[in-house]
Amino acid sequence: MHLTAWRRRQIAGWLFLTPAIAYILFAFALPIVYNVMLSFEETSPATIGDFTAPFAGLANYRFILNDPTSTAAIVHTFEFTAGSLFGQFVIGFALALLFTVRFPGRTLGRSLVIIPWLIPLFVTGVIFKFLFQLEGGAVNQLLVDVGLARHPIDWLDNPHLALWTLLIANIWLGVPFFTLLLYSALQDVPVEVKEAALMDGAGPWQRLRLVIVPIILPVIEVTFLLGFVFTVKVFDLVIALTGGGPANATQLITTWSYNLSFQQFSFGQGAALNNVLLLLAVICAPLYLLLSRDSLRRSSGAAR
Amino acid sequence: MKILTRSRRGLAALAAATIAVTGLSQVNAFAATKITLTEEDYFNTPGQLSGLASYTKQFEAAHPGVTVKRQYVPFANLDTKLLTQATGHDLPNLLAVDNPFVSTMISTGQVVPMSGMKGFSTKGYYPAVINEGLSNGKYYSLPVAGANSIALIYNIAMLKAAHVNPPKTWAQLVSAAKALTTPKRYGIALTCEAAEDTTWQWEPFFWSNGGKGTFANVASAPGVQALSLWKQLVTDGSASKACLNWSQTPAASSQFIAGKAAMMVNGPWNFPTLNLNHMYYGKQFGIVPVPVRVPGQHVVVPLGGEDWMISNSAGSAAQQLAFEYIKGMQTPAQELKLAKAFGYLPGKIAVAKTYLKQVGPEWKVYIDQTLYARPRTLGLGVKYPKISQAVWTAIQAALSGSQSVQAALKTAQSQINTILKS
Repeated sequence: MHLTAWRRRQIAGWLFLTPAIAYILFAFALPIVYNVMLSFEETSPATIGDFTAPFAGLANYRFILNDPTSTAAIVHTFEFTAGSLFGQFVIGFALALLFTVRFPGRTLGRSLVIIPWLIPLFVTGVIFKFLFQLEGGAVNQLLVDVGLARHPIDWLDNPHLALWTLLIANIWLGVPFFTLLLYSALQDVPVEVKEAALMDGAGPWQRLRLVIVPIILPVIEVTFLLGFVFTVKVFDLVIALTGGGPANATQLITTWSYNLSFQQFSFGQGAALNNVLLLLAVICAPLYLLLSRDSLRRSSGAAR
Repeated sequence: MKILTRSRRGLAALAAATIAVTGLSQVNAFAATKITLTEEDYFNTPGQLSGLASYTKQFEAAHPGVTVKRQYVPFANLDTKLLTQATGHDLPNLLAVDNPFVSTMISTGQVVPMSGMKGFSTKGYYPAVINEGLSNGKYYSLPVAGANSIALIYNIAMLKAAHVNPPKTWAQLVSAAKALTTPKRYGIALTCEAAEDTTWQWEPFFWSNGGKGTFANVASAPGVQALSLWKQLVTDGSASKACLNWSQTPAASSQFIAGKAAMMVNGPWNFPTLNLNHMYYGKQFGIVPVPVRVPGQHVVVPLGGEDWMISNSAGSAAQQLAFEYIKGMQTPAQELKLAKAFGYLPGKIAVAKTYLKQVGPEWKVYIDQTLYARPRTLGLGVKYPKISQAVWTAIQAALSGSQSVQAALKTAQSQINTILKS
């Protein structure tokens, strides 16, 4: 039994890789494969003990496409995600810019911004539920007392408004993430570049738009992508605030697929809807790799 | 010496293990062996915990070598947890589930019928109580601590001040709620959050008015009238629109306790909380049945409460032992004890009569109406959760104003027709 050195090294290599491969297979591949399998099966509590259920073809996907709540949930998810990212970016970037300026209380401000991050999501939901209550809610109390509203506003009880209320809560939640990442990116903008722009007579708006943003653009891109992934899977917040109501006005892909699976026990339909999220992940993962590699190359290019 | 004891102990353990593995059908043989029954439930009030624990202690004392190992799972997670365990054929020996979930558990095929077990009897139970576990002629469940239901609870002082009597009909309910509404409080606190308790709250209005247990006529007169009543309470301003995010307990009930609502539809499990807040029956609050549309209609309420089920994850010996545990709770003395501890009604008609004498008149309405109560899943089984979802969505759509009463119920009807046909 004489193995060549090359062969021995190859075997050792595979041995070292085995734990990682096993981990990826069981922790990631298996659940995904199982979820895809479920979506093509006619599952019910009666089939739950068996590993497979009768084949259903595309019936679950057909259900999702014809079910007004499912299609609405998909639309809500996109609206909610787009709105959240926009709000989080605008506020987060503004705060990040603010913190690059020296002013008294800057450190305190920077640590206060992180607070939303430290509170469990469900707790945030409950707090916002109290804040936005129709009667006795702090927000309505304030609006009526200040005179901005004549009557208390039905933030959570109006189907046209509830998604906006969720959006406000989620923007509040996501701002720290944007602030932190963009702030650290802003720290990396070379002082010489900013000074050069100043010397060339660029105004503040021009410096921001033509100098700072292009330099930190790779970070902005990655932040958006990560923010997208965090937002598209929001669940606890909705459950705590509205439970998907009123009249399904705030059902997202996550909450409605949970509802289909675990409240109506149609695991196949729930899985089919959930695969829409899987599809998004499949698109996002390579995009993230591409962007981060790109940003690495660009920043190393800039350093040179 | 030491070695000897150790080896002897080892031998005994080995023998016990052998017996446990081979399984024994003789109940009296349990004395010789150690058996652990696993149990899962979501009980969490002090009364429920002490009631259950003291019964378990008593059972363990009567069955040497048997331990009942309880695991608490929060209400919101129990169904999911049990289904997950069912995928791995790993259910606990004993499970106490909310009664609408009984049918779902039966359909997993991993719970065993009790009707075949030694000492099982359906005698004396309220039909609605015992029928919760009826499937294909077999009974799969028995009540944990009896049952419960809902009725109209009102604030005596507020009604007196507004010169209104407790409403018996819908027309009276509407006018009473209006008269009771002031800038600081609503006439009635409704529950219409996106959850099962909304359907459960509406069922007495719909069912008493001729609504079918299957909701097959939800968009016809019985449903339209019942939902229009709720809609009117909201548009009149007699009920807060905030109910769209209120659970029955504690959201709606705390409105009542805080004096922000003069009436609520709720159950006897509120008595301890009401008493804690210095509200006592006959002095601060009174109870009447849920009002009906026209006098003479029978009040049909849904039945709440939890049921015991036995899984097939262990052999027949353990199953029989689990049944012994459940059976021991069904004696009149235990029923009375547990019903008191849980704040429920006993599941047997005769025991409920004794109970009424012991606990007080605030239970009368609840006990009287149990005879006409209806288990939510009867004839529907696993279809009930889907149908209930369609119903509470329609209620939310109508009350939030996104659809008219008729349109909302029509949407629900077409969904329900599809579910019933499947």
